[in-house]
Amino acid sequence: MIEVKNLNKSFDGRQVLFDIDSTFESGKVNMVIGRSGSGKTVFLKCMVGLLTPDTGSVLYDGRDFTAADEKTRMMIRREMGKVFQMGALFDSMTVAENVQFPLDLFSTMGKGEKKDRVEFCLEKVNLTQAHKLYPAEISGGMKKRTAIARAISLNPKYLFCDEPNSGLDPETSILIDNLVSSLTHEFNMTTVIISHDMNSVFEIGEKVMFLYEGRKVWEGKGREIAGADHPALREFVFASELMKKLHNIK
Amino acid sequence: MNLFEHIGLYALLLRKTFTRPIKFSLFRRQLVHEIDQIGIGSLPLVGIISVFMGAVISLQFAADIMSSQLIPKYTVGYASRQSIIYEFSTTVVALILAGKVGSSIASELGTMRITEQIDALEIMGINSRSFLILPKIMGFLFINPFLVMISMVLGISGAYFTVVATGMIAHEDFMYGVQMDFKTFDVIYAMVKTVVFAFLISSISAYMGYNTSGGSLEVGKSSTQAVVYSIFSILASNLVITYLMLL
Repeated sequence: MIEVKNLNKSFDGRQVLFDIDSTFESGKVNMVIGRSGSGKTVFLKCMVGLLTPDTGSVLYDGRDFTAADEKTRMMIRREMGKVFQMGALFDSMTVAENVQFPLDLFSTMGKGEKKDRVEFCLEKVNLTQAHKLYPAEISGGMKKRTAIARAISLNPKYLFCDEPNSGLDPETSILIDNLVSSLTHEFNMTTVIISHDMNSVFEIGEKVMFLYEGRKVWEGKGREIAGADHPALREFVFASELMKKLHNIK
Repeated sequence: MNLFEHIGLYALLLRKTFTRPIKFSLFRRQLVHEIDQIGIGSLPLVGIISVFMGAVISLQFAADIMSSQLIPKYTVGYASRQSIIYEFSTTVVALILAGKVGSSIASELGTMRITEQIDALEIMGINSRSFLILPKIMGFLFINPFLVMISMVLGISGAYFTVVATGMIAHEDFMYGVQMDFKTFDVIYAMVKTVVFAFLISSISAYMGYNTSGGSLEVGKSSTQAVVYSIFSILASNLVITYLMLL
């Protein structure tokens, strides 16, 4: 479980996050949604420690990450997996080497065990045929899947995904969504996904938090979002003509 | 950011860079890779430039000395050797490597930064500075003295073949000049410069690349700045080392 308490963040005097409080439970797909520039990525970066919040704290199963010393932070980080928006795969390594990389550094596994684990992770994301290819040789969807395989290679307790289906076709998007959701439930991870894809919200969002201009203005279950009465959220959810029509039919 | 802020951040980067590697087996692999990339990769360039520069230096001395009846001909060998050991193989080669190695380090780290590969390392609980920068600095510190020694040998060989093969100076005169009044201290002085220059090039370029923000345009800017600042630091440190060691 991850608890976020009174999180504030500003850049050069311009505040981008205002007093954010939330709890993300384990074994659930938690989603943070909002318009571009609403502070979603900054929020995620504060959670994982890539940015330091001005005030507030982030607790990982009761351990205060923001106040922890460097060594403790490193230890907590080793329990995290993150899927970056563009994959952030290491260009000089093959798909299999990318997945094996965290194992090389932090596991005590032997060569054979590592190989088996890589095979297992790549099998989970349906990428067993691509293990010898380099990131430059694979598609965007495959890069995302490789990033997911790398993120789960060390059995993380916390999984973070920054817009995992941006730039992907609808079919691959659904594939990625379902993959993240099934992995979350199978390994009882605390998953936090940053997205502005309403399809993902309806498909897999078990808990959704809506950020508007750096403030949390709505929080609830994914399926409740259509009935939410916050004007900014309604505008966001029903921004497309298709969503408006579907809502009217309903 | 002003100069003092840059110096402060550079010092902080170095403090976090010189920490114990997570896994020595991986560090050794990276070190060998960097030595290969920086050292073996730069060898053809250093070799060609050294031969030609040695040849030109000796021709210039020979042209001056041939017209004088008072200066002995072996001076060509002596002056070529001193120029090559003192300045050419250390400083000029360092300036050339600042362009090649410096821009390569800065652009590699800059690209890793903007494509979030450095963030990915941090999320995994890896000290990205130590993991990425330490093997580059150590690799360059290790291989640069060898590159410079090879440059010295090739430079003097270039000088020899040019003036002896063309018949301007006799083999005996040149060899006498090259060996005349040789002091081991001169090579020590050259090696000290070599190690300092290698550290400056690799660390300044790493600092510029690591702190890149933005897109591909900024990677290019970081790369250019890395070369400019490395060159400036080489020239300044050259002056300081020379003053401290030769005077």
